[in-house]
Amino acid sequence: MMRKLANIILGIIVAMLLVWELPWLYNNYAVSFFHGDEIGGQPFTLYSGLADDFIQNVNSGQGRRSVTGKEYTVEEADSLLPFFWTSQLINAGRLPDTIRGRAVSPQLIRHTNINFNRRAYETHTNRPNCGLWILLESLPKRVNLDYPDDAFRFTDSGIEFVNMNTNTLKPKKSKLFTDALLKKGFAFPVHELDGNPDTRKDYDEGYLLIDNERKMYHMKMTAGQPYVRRIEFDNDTVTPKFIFVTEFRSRCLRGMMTDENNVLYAITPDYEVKPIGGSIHFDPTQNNMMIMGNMFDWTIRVTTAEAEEFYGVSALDYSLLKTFIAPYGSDPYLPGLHFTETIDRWVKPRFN
Amino acid sequence: MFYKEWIKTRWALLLILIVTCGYVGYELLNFLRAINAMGGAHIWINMITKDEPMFVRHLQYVPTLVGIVFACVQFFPEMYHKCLKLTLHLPCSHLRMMFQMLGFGLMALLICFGLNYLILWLGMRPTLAPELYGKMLLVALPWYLAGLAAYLMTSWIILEGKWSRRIFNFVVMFLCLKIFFLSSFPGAYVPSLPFLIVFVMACVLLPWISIDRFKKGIE
Repeated sequence: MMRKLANIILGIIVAMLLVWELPWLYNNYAVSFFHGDEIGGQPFTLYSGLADDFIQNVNSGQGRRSVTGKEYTVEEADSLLPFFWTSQLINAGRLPDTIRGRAVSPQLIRHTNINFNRRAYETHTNRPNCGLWILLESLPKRVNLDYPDDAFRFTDSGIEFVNMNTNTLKPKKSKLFTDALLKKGFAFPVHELDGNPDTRKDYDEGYLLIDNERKMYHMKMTAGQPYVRRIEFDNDTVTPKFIFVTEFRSRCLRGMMTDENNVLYAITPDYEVKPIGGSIHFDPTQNNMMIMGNMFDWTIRVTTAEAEEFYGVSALDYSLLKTFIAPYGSDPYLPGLHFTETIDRWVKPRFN
Repeated sequence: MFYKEWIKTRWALLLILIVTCGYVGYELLNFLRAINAMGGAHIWINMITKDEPMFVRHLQYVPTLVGIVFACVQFFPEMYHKCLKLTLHLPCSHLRMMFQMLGFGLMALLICFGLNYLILWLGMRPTLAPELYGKMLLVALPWYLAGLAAYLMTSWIILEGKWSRRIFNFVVMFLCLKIFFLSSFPGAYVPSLPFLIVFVMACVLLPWISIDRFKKGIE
């Protein structure tokens, strides 16, 4: 009896190892050999407001082509994407003084260009979280941002600041921030929060929060005092799910959010919530998103399991200008047992 | 049986205790030195913002090596001096005797690993928040489970009489242990801890396959 059971266990272990390792070997070594031309995503693609088209780098970066098939020389493409190839245009002495009727300079371009990356594994549900965060002083006495001497955690009934040098609670500061949040109607515990406690950035916007009743808030520390602001929106039609701090140099946005239907929204500097590109869908738990933009338009790339989606969006009113969806071809990969995935940081058995 | 195992392994057990506690002590000293040199806040910020197994990373393969060494110390003499043959001639249940031998080894390792955890916990608790030392202890948990699995699977390999089958067993052990080291992201293994614990428990039965084959005279 026991011998039979032991052999069954060994059989299960060996079967599990085969279902794990054989597809892995095939997918990592054989797929590129047999299906080399079928794998790989789209080349680097940017929306050009001047051409009203998406322009791609082809031939290992030596050629340029629009997604509609129009060929460009490298120099032509540089001129059609002046906000991206700025250094190249300056070097060639071809950076125009005005673009679309607006005076531009290298400094202005650098100031207004934006770059935002959000990978699925960065989403809180897709990775372990220790539950402690750091709130920077957003109005520092010195020029540079500096780390505080405390960290904070959210509890079921408030926010707690802990002195990092002594590992003791800061009751006064905890009460100050808890009261400030409660005063604005914050419902504990927090549902979702996002912030970027990095001192190398230009300025600090603190944290964007979604409370237990799915209301959105902005919280930061200004001269040691809490700054809490409710972000008003139509709660009946929009239920926020994930929220992102952007902290672009130009301060053109407070942040972004997605709702229960994975529609992407912008949170403007005056705390208005506006859908981006009509209704661009971005599921932060499954998709990666990259935004590269300038003072006129943004290129948004959403990478899903089925396709690479490119959107040209107006930077002025977030309206959709152009769409390019590039579905993946046939999937040459063998299904098998996996313990890790690129979209999250968990180690757990899954079959796909 | 327990006494016999104790006589056989007591010096090895002492050595293993010294080595593992020494490693943990070394990590803890590094941690305390860093706190003294850079201040608690600096260490906290690094631990919060970086997803690395700070201050326990040198421990990664230590429990696995300890498991393998302890299994060797416990079962090599059994095979080399043909003691297993004598043991199996005793008028006792073979299965029970195997479980007693493995139980002794598992208990010894659990005491050793538990002591490691206790030292880490006591050392980090005064200066770190529960979230942070919990993060470090969670990182090390799959490594210690790997130590238990390595002990059981090494026993399975050593008790096997046939070399070709030993090689097969070794390949299975190597691939199985790989599962415990796929990520050192703190807390990454939380959803799979029940799976890993069940896996380690299931490994208890593997040496029985070798003993059963040994009884049949397959060498």
